[in-house]
Amino acid sequence: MALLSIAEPGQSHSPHHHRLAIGIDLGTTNSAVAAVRDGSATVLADEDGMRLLPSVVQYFADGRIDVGHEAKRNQAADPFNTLSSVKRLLGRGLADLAEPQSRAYRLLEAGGMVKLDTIAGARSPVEVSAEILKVLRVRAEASLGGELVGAVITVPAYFDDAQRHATKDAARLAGLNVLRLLNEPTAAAVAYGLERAGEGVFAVYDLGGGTFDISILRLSRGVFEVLAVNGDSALGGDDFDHAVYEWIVAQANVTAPSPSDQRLLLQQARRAKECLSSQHEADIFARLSGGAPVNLELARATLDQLTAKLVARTMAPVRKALRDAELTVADITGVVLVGGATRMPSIRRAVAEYFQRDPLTDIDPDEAVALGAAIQANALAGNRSAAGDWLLLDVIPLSLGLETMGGLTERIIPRNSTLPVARAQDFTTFKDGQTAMSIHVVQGERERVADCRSLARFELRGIPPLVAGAARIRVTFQVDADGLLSVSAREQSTGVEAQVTVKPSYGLTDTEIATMLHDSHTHAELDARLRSLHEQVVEAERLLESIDSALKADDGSWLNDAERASLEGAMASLRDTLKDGDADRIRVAAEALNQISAPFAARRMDSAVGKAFAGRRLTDFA
Amino acid sequence: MPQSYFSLFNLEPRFALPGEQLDAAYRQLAAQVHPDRFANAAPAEQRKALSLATSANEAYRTLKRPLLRAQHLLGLRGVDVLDGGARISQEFLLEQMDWRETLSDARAARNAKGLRQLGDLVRRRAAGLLQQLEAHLDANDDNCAAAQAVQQLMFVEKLLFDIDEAHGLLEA
Repeated sequence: MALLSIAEPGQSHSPHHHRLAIGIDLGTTNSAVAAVRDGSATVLADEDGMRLLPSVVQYFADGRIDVGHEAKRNQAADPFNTLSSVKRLLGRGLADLAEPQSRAYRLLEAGGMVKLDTIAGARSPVEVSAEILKVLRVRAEASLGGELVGAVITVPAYFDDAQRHATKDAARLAGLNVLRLLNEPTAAAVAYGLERAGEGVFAVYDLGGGTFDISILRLSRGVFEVLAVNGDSALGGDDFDHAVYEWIVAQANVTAPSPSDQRLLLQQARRAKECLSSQHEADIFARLSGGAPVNLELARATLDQLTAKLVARTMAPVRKALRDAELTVADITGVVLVGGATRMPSIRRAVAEYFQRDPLTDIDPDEAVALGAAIQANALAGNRSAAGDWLLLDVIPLSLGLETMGGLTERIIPRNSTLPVARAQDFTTFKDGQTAMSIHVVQGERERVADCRSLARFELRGIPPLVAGAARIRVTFQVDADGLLSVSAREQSTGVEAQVTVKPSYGLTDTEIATMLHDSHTHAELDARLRSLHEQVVEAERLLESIDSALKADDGSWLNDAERASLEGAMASLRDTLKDGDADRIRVAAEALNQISAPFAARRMDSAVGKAFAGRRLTDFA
Repeated sequence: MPQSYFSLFNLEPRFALPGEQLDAAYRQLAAQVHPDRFANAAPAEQRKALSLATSANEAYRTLKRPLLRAQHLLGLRGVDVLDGGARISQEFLLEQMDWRETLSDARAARNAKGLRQLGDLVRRRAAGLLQQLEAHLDANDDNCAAAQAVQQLMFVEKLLFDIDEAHGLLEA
């Protein structure tokens, strides 16, 4: 697979076997799952033929959980236990939430993260999101009829590190192998680009239920290159609903509405807004819990007035993204609209006016993201693509930096750097004999640390005691293709690797995930241990397969006899452990094989890439 | 000896570098080493791909920007621009101060036309410096003069950045 794919990128390691992979759009309002079948991407429907799954989860006292349409209908009746729009809470602390709509729940703070108090106990947004993902996983397994290799999960381009971690945690909790986190606008561009085979510079305007993203991409000869992204991760269709809700409350003189009245009126507000995308007037009717009726008529012109400020708020990020991409409106070849909220005529008008062209809307704005994710998942799983060979080059949406003296931010990796990216920064001690140093990692564009998002605090220990200023500690930031950050540190003068303790301010540790998985499995039909064994076996088989095909591909010419013997020995031991089915022994044997094969993998990459770029050693650069 | 980003892309170590040539070389390399190509590979290969793709991106970013490209080229020749050596002329500094003043006046007066005129002027200066750089680096092998031009270009690019930002503030 991987080793083979160097020789022929995109080629499956076993061409007769289609590996099942899915793309999931985990949305604020609705979610969807798609897969590539018979060469084209389709959204997978449930038994009733419904393609979208409302991102609503209802918890019951007896441990039962409802997800989707049924839960959505029960929102007004059971407001505290029926959770919607939790995506807005992912990777967030209580202090981050100034939004009135999130006050509809009983929120708790637990370890820097928001939790929601329900009849079934406190639930984190990660757990709630995992319930949605589980339903989609089961739907996909039933629909595709087999084991999934993995999934691509989409996130708003403007999601920060904490929000991305939370999304990945939710997917793992739902039993999904995450092949990649993919930015939503990029996913939509893939769906448009590969389906329509256009070339040029595209702007993707993505207004979802809770987030707004703008991405500028260049599409040229099979390469999707994201030039710039910008956005507002706390602006979406929900805010339009809320503006209408406020209007209803004022017009109908509703004082102190109960939580279920709030939900009811919010639902009516949303319904009216949706109607006004095709109609010019919408009726709003509701009977409040006290018996009082609400009966209003909302005109499209009034809606436009109520939400004009929100529409205008999306335009500042659009201008910034264009400037970061060093382009003007005249350079844009096409504008793609994504997200249900872009059905609003006022949005379409504003976008058309700004870009001086009619936006493209021929793919359903609710489905484009899931479709693009499925296409990417299919390619990552190693299946041959109908569109041929293509590549995605995405960027980091927000700058990463460190806190320096006086609470100011020192930028290490600027926003819109192409992923993966790494930068190093040297530090020194300021006291004689200092052996530890504390480093604070932040993300954001503001000068003051207090205005940025705190991602992690590191303690560097084990610095050799030297005179002040003599130690050279190089801290390296590495952001991977998912946009996730890892940090390492090394004392340069002595070569001592300083110990780094990562304490994510948000998100879950692996142990927490394991515990949650275990807890959920004691309720569910799945035995956690069996599952873990199964995962180890799949993992080990994959490893053996990849080395086998590498050996076959070019007769192992990159190995001498002794090396080949030790590699084959390690492979044989791993095959042995597979027979007796002990998860731990398999893990150890697989790890050993990994270690042994690592140097050969590097050597082989050199020789494979060297065929294309004669005369250089790539390992010199890494 | 620092690693050469030129040789990573199999390019001649010259300042003159057509954008399309660099783009093509980068795409070819990225297509082979991007982590997406190794989604199913063994962890060792994934780590390797991550580090190679990171190098490719860093190399591309460096060679794409003329200022960074010149600095890198000088670095390969053993000249560290930031390590002193080249001296900035009094004349150049006076001109810079003059332009800085024009910028802050235009910003205070929200004078978009003034900003545009200053921008045009400074951009012409930047273009002139790039021409000089090409001559110093590719034709005459005059590293000393090149280092001086790089230092001046740093001032000029910072000024252009600030002019751009002032423009942005006017728009918002």
